[in-house]
Amino acid sequence: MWFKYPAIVMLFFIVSLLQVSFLPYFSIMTFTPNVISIIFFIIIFLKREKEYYYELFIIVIAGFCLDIFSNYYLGLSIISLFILYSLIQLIHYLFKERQNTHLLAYFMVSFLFYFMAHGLLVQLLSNPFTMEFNLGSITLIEVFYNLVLAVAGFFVYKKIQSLASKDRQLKLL
Amino acid sequence: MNIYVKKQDYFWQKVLVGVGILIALILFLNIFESPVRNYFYIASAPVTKIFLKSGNATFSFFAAFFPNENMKKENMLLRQENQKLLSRLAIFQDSLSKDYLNQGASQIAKEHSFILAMVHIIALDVSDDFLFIDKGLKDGISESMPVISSENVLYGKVHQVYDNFSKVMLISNSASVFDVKVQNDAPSKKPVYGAIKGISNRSLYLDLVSSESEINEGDVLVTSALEGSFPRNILVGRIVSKDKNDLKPFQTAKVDHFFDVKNTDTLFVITNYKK
Repeated sequence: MWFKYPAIVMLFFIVSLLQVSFLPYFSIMTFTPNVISIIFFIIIFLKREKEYYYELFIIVIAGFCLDIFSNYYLGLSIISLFILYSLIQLIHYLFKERQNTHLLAYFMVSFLFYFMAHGLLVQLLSNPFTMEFNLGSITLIEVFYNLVLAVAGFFVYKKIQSLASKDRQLKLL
Repeated sequence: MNIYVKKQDYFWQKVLVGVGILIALILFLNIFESPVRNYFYIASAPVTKIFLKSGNATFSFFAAFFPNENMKKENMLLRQENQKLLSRLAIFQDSLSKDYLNQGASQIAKEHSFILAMVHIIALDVSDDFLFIDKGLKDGISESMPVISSENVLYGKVHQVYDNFSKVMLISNSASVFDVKVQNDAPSKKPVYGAIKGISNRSLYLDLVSSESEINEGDVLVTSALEGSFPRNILVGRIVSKDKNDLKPFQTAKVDHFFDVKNTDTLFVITNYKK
């Protein structure tokens, strides 16, 4: 499975370019969805096998792609995604029994938490001395827009996962 | 032998190795930030240009299904036409005003003899109010140079320069503040000055207009060059609604900006003007 590393690089590279060129045309009330952040969350949240170094690699690539066109120093998103990754693992550990019963609801609540925490962390790490976080009505539109895309991504990922697992099943006949 | 203790040790070892790798990588990226960004933009510019064009085309295709969006497009063309006329009017009115004050119009012509560098947008960071252009240090671009469109509409100023690319801060960025004046119909009328402040997400407002001054909805704002960030008479926007409160020393107004990052491909950097 060596090709999963270049595949992740290509995926995030293309998505980061779409983020700054194609997606701004589909903004709602000046808000553009953060697709890099959504894809990162879906992969980390729904990944079945736990591979620490591969997940670290995803954090680095996704963080780099978030930072390269931003006005922040390179590495800010890598740090924030690493913190969020640790929190997601903690949530998984705490709610491991409930994961299989209401997976979509669990995914949506976790995504909302992740999205807010990501915004907060970026603000905190970019300027540690002033901490402002706007949770006004416009920000809620942004959250909703991203949540809709995340749910769509959730179903796409589940479909891909089920197709991949079908291929791996032992064919007796 | 307790196997759980051994497993925990590996966990912390892994975390430490991971954190170590991240710190080393972040240090490396920050030491070589400028070349890393520049080479990334070189590699991505041809692709983003295609994506920008296809984004615009896709948006136009879907807009065709919504009459309102079609009207918006038509409106945009009329607006561009209007901006050209307003720009000519601004120069004309300013010269009239100067004549009125017995000053030579030649000085204005001299001030407007800009040296322009044509640039293309390669990427948009609309959430942070920045855009990326395909010219940099090697093309004579430097920080703080104003960026305008062919309709003489102000977009912003160069914020960061790399070897082959530059990052432009839009006037709607929350860090952007500059002086403007209300375009005057009558040269004898006292000019009204104020400051345009960006509030991010491509929004801006007019502030610091003295409460005695009269501003109206629909008034056109142009740069005033009082503090020198931008040359004078470049179109900024139009007042949408004003907020006048007798208890406050200044009045404010909501402003609809003239710049349109989604429908512009080519911009101009004024290379002979720098604060």
